[in-house]
Amino acid sequence: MNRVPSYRTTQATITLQNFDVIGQDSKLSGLVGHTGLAKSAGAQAAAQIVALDMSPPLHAASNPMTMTANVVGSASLTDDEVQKIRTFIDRHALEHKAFGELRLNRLIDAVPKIYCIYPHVVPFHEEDGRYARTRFSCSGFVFEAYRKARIILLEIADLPDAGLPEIQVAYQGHLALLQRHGSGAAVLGLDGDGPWKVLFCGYLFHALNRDAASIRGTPYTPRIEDRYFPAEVSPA
Amino acid sequence: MNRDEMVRRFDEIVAEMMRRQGFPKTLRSISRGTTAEMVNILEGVGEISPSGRIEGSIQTDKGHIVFAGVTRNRSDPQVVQSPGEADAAPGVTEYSAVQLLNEVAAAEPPRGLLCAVELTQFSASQKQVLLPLLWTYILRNRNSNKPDDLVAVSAAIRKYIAILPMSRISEVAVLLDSGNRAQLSIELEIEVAKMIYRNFEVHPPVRADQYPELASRLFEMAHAYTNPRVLLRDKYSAAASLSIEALASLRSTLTAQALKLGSTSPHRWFSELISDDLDDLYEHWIAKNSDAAAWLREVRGLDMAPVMTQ
Repeated sequence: MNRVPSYRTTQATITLQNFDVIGQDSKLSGLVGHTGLAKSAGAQAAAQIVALDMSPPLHAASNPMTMTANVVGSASLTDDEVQKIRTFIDRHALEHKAFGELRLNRLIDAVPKIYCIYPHVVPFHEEDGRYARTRFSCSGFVFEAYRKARIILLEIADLPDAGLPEIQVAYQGHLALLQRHGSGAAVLGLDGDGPWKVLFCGYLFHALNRDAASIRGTPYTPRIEDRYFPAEVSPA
Repeated sequence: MNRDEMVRRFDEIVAEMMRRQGFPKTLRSISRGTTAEMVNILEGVGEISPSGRIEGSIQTDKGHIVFAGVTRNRSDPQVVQSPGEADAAPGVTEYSAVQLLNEVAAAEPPRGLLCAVELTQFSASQKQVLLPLLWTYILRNRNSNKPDDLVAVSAAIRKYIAILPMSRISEVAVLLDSGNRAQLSIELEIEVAKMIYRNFEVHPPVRADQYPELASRLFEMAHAYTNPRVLLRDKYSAAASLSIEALASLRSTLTAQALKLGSTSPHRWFSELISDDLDDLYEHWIAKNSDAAAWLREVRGLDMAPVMTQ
């Protein structure tokens, strides 16, 4: 199958492959605010893609949620790559499904223990360093899933620096919710004055907007403008 | 009832309570006219912290009772609960940890509570109270057919293994025992294997073959789930790969055989997956225990004979 470059959806129905990357716009037009993986292949309604995503909590195969696909990125995964990603998700599924059992007020309190903005993935440690769960950002979950398939989409060490105002644009919902409950950005990993090398969702679609050999051979080094897809789209 | 009858009845009650408990609080309760239900203590354990506060768990004929952050009243052997004074872990409100312990001790704690427990950090003495409660919950609910119960049991398993002293880690082999009348579901086996791996990723074994029983159970898992006929089924590859990786994390001599199961699989992606994860394990170990890291390289056959150069 020929690989399709990343694209903004314009049709009500789109055709996806297993674990294609779905992007949903935030309220600020053009910025990709949330991302996840398409649960299954085939023609689907763009407004209701059944997705595996780190919401939080993680929605894995046994409890998928729907997302609106405003942007789609595909690596045209091989069968072997699909199996690796599926195994990665199965390993984490029950770990995050547990959080669905929490009442809303406890879930909000629990967010910093199951979710992070920076770094994109980090265990939640007991005092002696052991850990029972792994925290992801939504983009971090997608990045790590592909990494397990030996597809390193981004050069993590070379991500652009981002200050708190830029991060707030992307994570305004999460940060506002925490603020209402008396927590700050530090609980999600943004401690100190910054800047931080945050893995924004939009970066993933630029990484996937290349030829197949580049996607698998060379991690993409994004620019801060790549928070948007396409990069030239920015809020007025 | 006239006064004489009342006195006689009172004496009978006191005598019965003294026979059952021999505890001054009984006398006091009765003299106050309270009608609190009595419980018989079957067994239990308590710990007095340096601050003098007491935490403990007792098994009674009416179920588990947990007490935490209580103080001894010097003039009276009864204790007075003061949950806000417990030595909770830093960053956690003391009351929440103590409250959770009390709620988990209930006969049928709600499922969401186990998930809240997983997210809470407990002090060392609180962990000693929590461990038997979690173990009881796991054994009582592991065979449930309700998917939501399995979610809660999985949370209990992860927390239990994450706080279990490393010296007692062999005990979790019971959970993987295939002789159990109702074998653990594959979802829960994944959680056990994953947590074993994570524990030893952080604390590499100081020598090989310290945990033979645990290794045997994991090898049985690996052998069952790497079968090419089942490997592609839902969750089987997760269980298979984690059992092999957990075996390696134990520094078990069964690791070589388990790795062979992976490398001879017709599914090349499966052996690649394990290889990548063991690369990660090596990176963790190299900074913690060079002997363990060297062992891992050797068992994977990565140590080549040195190339002689002139």
